[in-house]
Amino acid sequence: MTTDTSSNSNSDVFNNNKCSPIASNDLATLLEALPSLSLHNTSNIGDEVESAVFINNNDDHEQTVEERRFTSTGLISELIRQTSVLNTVHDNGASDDASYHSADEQALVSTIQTRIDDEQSSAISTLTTTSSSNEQNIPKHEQYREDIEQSLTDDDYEQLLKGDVKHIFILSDNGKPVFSRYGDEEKLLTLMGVMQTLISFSEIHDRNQLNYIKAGRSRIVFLHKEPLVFVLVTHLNEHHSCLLQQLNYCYYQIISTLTLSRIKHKFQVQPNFDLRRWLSNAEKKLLHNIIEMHEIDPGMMMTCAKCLTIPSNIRSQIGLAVAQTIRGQKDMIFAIILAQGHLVSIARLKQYHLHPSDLHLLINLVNSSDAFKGVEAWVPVCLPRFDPGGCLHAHISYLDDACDICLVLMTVNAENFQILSDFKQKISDKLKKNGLIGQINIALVRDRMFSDEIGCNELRYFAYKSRGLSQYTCSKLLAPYTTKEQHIRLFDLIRYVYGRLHDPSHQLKIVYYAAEYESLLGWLAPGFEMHVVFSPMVTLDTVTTCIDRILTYIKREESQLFIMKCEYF
Amino acid sequence: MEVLQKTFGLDGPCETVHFQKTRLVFHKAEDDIFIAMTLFVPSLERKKDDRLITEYYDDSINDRLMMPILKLSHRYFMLLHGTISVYLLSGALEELKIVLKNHFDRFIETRLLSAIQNATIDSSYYGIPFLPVERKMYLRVQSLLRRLELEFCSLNEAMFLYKDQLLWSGLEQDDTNIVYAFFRLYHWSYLKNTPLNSSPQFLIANANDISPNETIITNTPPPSNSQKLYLGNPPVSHRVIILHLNYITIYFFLNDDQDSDDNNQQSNIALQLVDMLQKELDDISLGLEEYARKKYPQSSTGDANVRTIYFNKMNMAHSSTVDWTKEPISNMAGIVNTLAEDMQWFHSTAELMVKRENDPWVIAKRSDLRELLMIVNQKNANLKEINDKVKQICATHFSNIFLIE
Repeated sequence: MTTDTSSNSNSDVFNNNKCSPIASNDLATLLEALPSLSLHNTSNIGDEVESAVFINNNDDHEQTVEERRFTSTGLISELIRQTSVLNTVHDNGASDDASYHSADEQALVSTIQTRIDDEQSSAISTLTTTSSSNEQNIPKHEQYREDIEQSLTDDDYEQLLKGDVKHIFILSDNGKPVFSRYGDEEKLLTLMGVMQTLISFSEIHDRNQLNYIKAGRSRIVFLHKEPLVFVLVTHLNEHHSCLLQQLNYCYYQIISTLTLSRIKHKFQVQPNFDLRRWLSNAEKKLLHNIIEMHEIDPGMMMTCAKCLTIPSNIRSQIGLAVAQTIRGQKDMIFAIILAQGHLVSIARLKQYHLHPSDLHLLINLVNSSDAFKGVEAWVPVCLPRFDPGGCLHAHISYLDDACDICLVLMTVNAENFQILSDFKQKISDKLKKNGLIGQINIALVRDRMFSDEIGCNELRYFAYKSRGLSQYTCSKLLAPYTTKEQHIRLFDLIRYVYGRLHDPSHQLKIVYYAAEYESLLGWLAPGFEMHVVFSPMVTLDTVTTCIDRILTYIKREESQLFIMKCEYF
Repeated sequence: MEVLQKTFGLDGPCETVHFQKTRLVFHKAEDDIFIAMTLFVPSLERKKDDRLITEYYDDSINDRLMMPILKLSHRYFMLLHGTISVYLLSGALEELKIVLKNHFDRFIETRLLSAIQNATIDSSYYGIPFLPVERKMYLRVQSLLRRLELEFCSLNEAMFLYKDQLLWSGLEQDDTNIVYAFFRLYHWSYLKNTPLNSSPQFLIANANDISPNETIITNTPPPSNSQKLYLGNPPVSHRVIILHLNYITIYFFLNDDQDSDDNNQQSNIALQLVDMLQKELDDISLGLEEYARKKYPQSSTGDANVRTIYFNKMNMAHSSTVDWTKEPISNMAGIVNTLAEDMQWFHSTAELMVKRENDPWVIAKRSDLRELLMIVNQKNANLKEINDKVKQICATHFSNIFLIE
C-alpha cells in the first residue's frame, strides 16, 4: 500500500499529524501513524451495509438498548405475513404453540406437540433428560460447582456468599427467587426479600431507578426488567456498563428460552408466579454457561462474533452450498455453520440481520447440551435482539461424526421440520462431496499460532475486533493463562481496560495499563478495537513494533480471519 | 446495607448508592451513627424520536470526590462540638438535635454547597502541602515552640504554618489533618486575600458562627469560651489561640482546664505569647522568604505542558500544579477523577496511561501509598514519548519516590 494514501487518511481521521511525516520514522512518531493503521480504519466501512454479516453495532452500546423499550420488533410477524403461515406463530405468546421435536424416533413420540402452556414444561424436560444422561461431559468447573453445592450446610452458605466470587441472582418483581449462580436460591429467600425491598423502595419515590451500590471496590448492580430483577455482586473494580452487560445477557438468555411476551403474560395473570417452575435444569445450565462465557469470551464483551480461520474461497464454497440449497424456501431466515463455537459461515434472508449477542445465545444453546449430538433437534428459540416477542424454530444437527461442526437452520414455520431435515441432508451431502467438511476439520486442527507470525516474545495475547464487521479474532491463550483462574483473571483485567475505553462519559482512545503481572494496551480506533497483553516489563518500543506487526498481519490475512461477505438465500 | 455488606463480605462498608436520579452517599461516622448526603444527578432533557427523554449523567458526580466532603463535614462538627456519642451517652438528645441543626443548617448553607460545587481531585485529598525548609530553620522553629511549651504549662501543642504550607505540627496525624482542613476552609480563604500585616493579630477559631464575609481577624485576643476545638481520640476540648503575623499562622492548643477557666488568664497568655514571639517571628519570616526566593528563583512551575498532582497517603503530603479552572484541564476533570478512583484498587505498584481523542495524556502512577497523577499536554506524542517524559518528570521532581522506574 502506498504511504501517501495512508498518511493522508490518517491526518483526515485524527488531524494530529503536524509534527513529522510518517515516512521518516514511522514507529517513532505516532502510534496512530503506524502505516498499517489506515488500512484498518478505511477497510470495510465503505462496504455496502447490506452485505454485512451483522448489524454494524458500533454505536449500539448497551446504554441505548436500555433506553429502547424492549418490546417486540415485529420482525417475526412481518416475516410470517410474508410467508403466510400465520397460523403457526402469532405475536402474543408465540411460543405457546411451540414444541420441541427431535428426529430421534423415541423422543419424537414423547414430545411431539407437547404444549409448554400447560405448565408441565415437559417439553423442556426433553432437553433435561437427554442432557442429564450426558453428565460425564459436563466441564470440570461446573462439576466442581455442583459438588460444592451438594455438600453445603447453612454455615457454609454464609461463607459461600462471603467468598470473593461473582454472585448473580434473579428474582421476580414480588421477591420470589428465580435463580442464584451459587447455592440454592430457596435458602436465599430473606436476601432476595431485602433486594426486592431496595428496588421497590427506590422506585416508589419519583420512579427513581436503583442502579448500583458501591462498597469499597465491591459493587452490587441491579437491573430491573419487568417482571424480573437481576442482581450482581462483584468484588472487582469493573465498570458498571460491563456488569450491566452481563446481567443483560442473563436477561436475554431467559427470554431466549421462555419468550418475553409469555413471561409478561404469565405474571400479569398470576403476579406471584414462581418462575422456577418453567426453569428446568437445562435452562439453568444455559444461564450458568452464559454467565461463565461472559467471563472468558472477549466476543461477548465486545459484542462481536469469532470466526473460524479458513481460506476465503473455501468459506464462500461452503456458504454457496448452504444458500443454494435453501434458496426458494420462503420462511427460512438464517442458516449458520458453527465449528467448536467458531462461526464458519452464515447465510440469511436479505434485510434480516443477526445480532452478535443473539449469535452468542445460539452458540450457548448448542454448546450447553449434548442432546443435539447424533440427532436432529427441533427447538423453539427466541432471539431477543431480533424479536423478543416471538419465537423462531431452530433445526440443530451435526455434520460430522465427531460432532464438531454444527448446522443451525432457523425458520418461522413450526411445521417445517421435515423440509429442514431434507435441507440438512442435502447440505451435508454437498459439503462432503466437495471435501469441505475435511477442510473445516483441517482449519480446526491448524488453529494457527499468532505469536509465531508476529514474532514477539513479550506478546502474550491479543484480541482484535473489526468494528465494521462486528467480528473479532484473537490469539490462543498460552501460559500463564492456561489455568481457569488465570484465564478469568486476565479477562477481568481486559474488561477493566474495556470499561475505561468505553466509559460513556469520557470515551478514551488509548489505555495503557502496566499492572503487576502484565501490561495491557487497549486501543479504540474508528475502524477497529484491540486489546493486547504483554509481559509486565515490556518496553514501549516493543509494544509499538508488535502492534504494527499485528495490524499488518491482520490486514494481510483479513479474508481468512473474517467473513467479509454474507450469502443470501 | 449493613446486612448486604455482612452477607457478601464486601470490601468495605457500603458507601454510595447510585440511583438513576439521585446519589446517596453515606458514612458510618461513629458507632451506630451514620451521616448521609443525597445529591441530585444532573440531567438533561433531549428530544429523540419526537419524544422528550431525560438523560441522567451518573458519571458527573464522582464518589471519590464526594465521600471526603461528607467525612469532613462530620469531622468539622466533631472539631467544634465533640462527638455525637458523648451527647447521646449523657442523654442530651434534645440538646444534640438543636446543636446538630444549628451547625449543619449553617454549614450546608455557607460551606458545603460551595465545597461540592468546587470539588476537584485536589480538594478531595484533604492533604497537606508541606513546606520544605533547611534543617537549621526547622530546628529554630521547633526550639522556639518547645521554649514556649516550657514557659506556659497549659500549652499543649502547636501548629506552625507559613502561607498555606505546614512547617510543624505537634498534633496527631488525624488532628493535624482536620485542623489544617479547618485552616484552609475558614482562615486561608480569607487570609490569602488580605494585605500583609506586620503586627500580630488573632484569628477567631469558631468561624462557623460568622458568615464568610465577616472579618475573622482581631487585634485583641478573643474571649476564651468561643475558642475551643475538640482534639485527640476520644476528643477532648482544647482552648485555642491563633496568632497571625506576616505569612505565618500559629495555632496554640491549650489544656482546657475547667478550674482555671478564666478569660483574663487566656488573654494574658495570648499577650505574653505575642510579646515573646514577635521578634523571633519577624526573623523567621524573613528567613523563610529568603529561602523561598533562593529555591524557586522565578517562581516558575517548570514545563508549561506538564501538570502534576502528588499525594502520599502515609503523611497526607499533597502537592499540585493544576489549575482546574483553565482549559484544557477543566475538561479533563472527569477522567482524572476516575483514574484517581481506580488507583485505589491497583496493586501496590502500577501505572496507567490513557488518552482521549484530541486531549492531553493522563498518567496515573502508584507505588504503595504514594500516588501521582500527571497531565501531559503533548497531543501528538506517542506512548513511548510520553513514557520517556514521565520518566524524566519523575527523575526531576519526584526522585526517590517510586520504587520502579
